[in-house]
This record gives sequence, structure tokens and C-alpha cells, in this order.
Amino acid sequence: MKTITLEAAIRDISLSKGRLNQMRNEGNLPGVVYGAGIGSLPIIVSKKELTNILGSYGLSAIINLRINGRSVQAMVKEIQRHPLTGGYWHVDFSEISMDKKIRTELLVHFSGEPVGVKDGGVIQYGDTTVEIECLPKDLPERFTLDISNMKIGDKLTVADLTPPEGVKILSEPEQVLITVIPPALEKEDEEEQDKPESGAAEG
Amino acid sequence: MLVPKRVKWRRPHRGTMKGKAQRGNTVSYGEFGLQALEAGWITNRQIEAARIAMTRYIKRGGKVWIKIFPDKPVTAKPAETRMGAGKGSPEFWVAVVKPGRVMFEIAGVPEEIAREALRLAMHKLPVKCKFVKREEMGGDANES
Repeated sequence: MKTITLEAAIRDISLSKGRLNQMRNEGNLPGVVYGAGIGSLPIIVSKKELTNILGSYGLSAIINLRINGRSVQAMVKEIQRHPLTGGYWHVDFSEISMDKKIRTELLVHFSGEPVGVKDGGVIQYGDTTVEIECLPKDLPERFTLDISNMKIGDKLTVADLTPPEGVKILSEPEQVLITVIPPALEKEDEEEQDKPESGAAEG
Repeated sequence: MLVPKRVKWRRPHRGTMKGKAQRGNTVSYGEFGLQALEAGWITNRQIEAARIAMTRYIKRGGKVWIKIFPDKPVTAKPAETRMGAGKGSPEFWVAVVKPGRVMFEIAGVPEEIAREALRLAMHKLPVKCKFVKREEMGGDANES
């Protein structure tokens, strides 16, 4: 768990979409911070600084937001991305209290190359985010799973994760994180193409 | 070729293609993907041509996912027919694609092979596309 400082400024909510886009082009990111103590505050942060923080510490970083001189401990609740460019579009911060449990989602990282892949298998990812509940001080940066022993047909689920002390996993234990599937056999494409096209029936 | 088994209406309106893909805009199953940059109708023949181009290039190994399905029938009137006398008959099927939609995904092959396979697929499609990577693999906005 790391604590990082991020400067933020209060944003005028009456700004037009065009003005917000202009701010995005200037390297800023509109966002909002909310919590029991502060209500809901529209803010603007530096996109570059936030990208650096998330790149280094992940989404589980506890960020000390300095909003016009006031300090708020918060975590990233949600990040919206542009559907085409993938760039950050809007960020939600949620205020946290160090003595209250929080619920958040963590991304599972995989290490090693599965044995099954060396034998020709293919990795298929499932839902690689896991919902957890813990105190902010116990929040891990990430879950890492060693997948080097996976053979073709093996799958790893949430039940295979070992959470650190104080961390409770809320996701279903059956949730599949990763599977090594057998290689797809080469099909005779021409054969398939020659098949007559059968139209759908109205129903 | 991809065709629905059953549809509720055989001659739907053409509809509009406003906005961007709000869903299906990330690489979710594989490692690399092909993302549409424009809106368009992708016919089942084009999907099949793209699939064949990809699978032939990657040969054995690897897996391809097709994340669009042509569920919209398009009608046409026969040539040299006078206007009127009702709507034409269904001719082909299309998938409506909006900008941002990840249409194909690939896994189990090195990046260079995936790039080339998806480049070949790109040439079979009527929309501009770009190569994208899975987010955990460093994929982001500025992929070519």
C-alpha cells in the first residue's frame, strides 16, 4: 500500500462539453471525488501525474488528493476511457477512512509461461478482476498467480488465489481467471465456403 | 458463413449508426485485437474472408475469436425492376459496427504474426481499423 499526493482543483460544473474536451487536450482530466465527509466535488487533475501514479502503483494506490489546499484521502473508484483512443476520459475518486473496510477490485497478474503453451496450447483469459474487502492499510498492490505449471485443459479460478492476511475475496470462487485451451485445428476453409447459405427463418 | 438460425423480423429498417461502441471496445479474450475506427456494415462474407485470411496466416496454433455477428438482414430488389410492389427480399446479412468495436481477437501467437494476420484481415473489411493489445500487455490509446 502506497500513499501518493496528487494536486487537484475544483471544477466548475457548468463547463460545456467543448470546454471539457479542450481541457482534456491541454493535459487535464475531469473527475469527481465523493465520500461521507465531503459530499460530491467535481475536480480536475493532471492526466500525466495520474497516469504515472496508476502506472507505478496500480488502481489500489491510496492517493492523498490536495484540493485547493484541503487534503482528502481517496482511492480511484472508476476510470472511464475513450472507446476509440483508450485514453483516460473521466476519473472517480472515493474518499476512504483508514479504519473502515473498503471494497475494491484488483487485477490479477500472471507470471511465467505455462507448460501447456509450450506444448501448443493457447491462453484464454477469463475475468481477471477480483473483488476484495479489506482495510486500506492491508490493501495489496496486486494479486500475482504463477501459471508456469498449467497444462493444456487446466484452468485457474479465484479459489486458487491466496489472499494476504486481512484481505477477504468477495468474488465467486468458481470465477475462471485463465485457461489453457487446446490449439485450434486447421479447418478446411474451402469446404466450409462451398456450403449453401441457409437463410434464417422468421419466428 | 455466419447466419442467424431464426430472426423475429426478416425485413427490418436500415437503422442508424450513431455514436461509438460503448461495449465490446476492449480486448477481452485474447491478447491482440482488431478495432474498428469507423461505423459500417460488415457482411457475413467479409467476416468469413477476414477469418480465412487470419487462420491461413497463423496456420496452426493460436486461436481466433470473432466478436461480431451478422444478425441484420439486408434486402434488395432484383435488377431492372420497377419501383413499388413491396420491399425486396433478404439478400445478405450484416453486423452493425460502430467506431471502437473490437471485431476480432487473436491469442497464442507472437505479436509480429498477430499484427500481420490482423493486417491481412483488415484488408477484407470495409471500415478503417487498427491493431490493439490487451490492456495488461501495455495496450493503450496510441497503438498503430
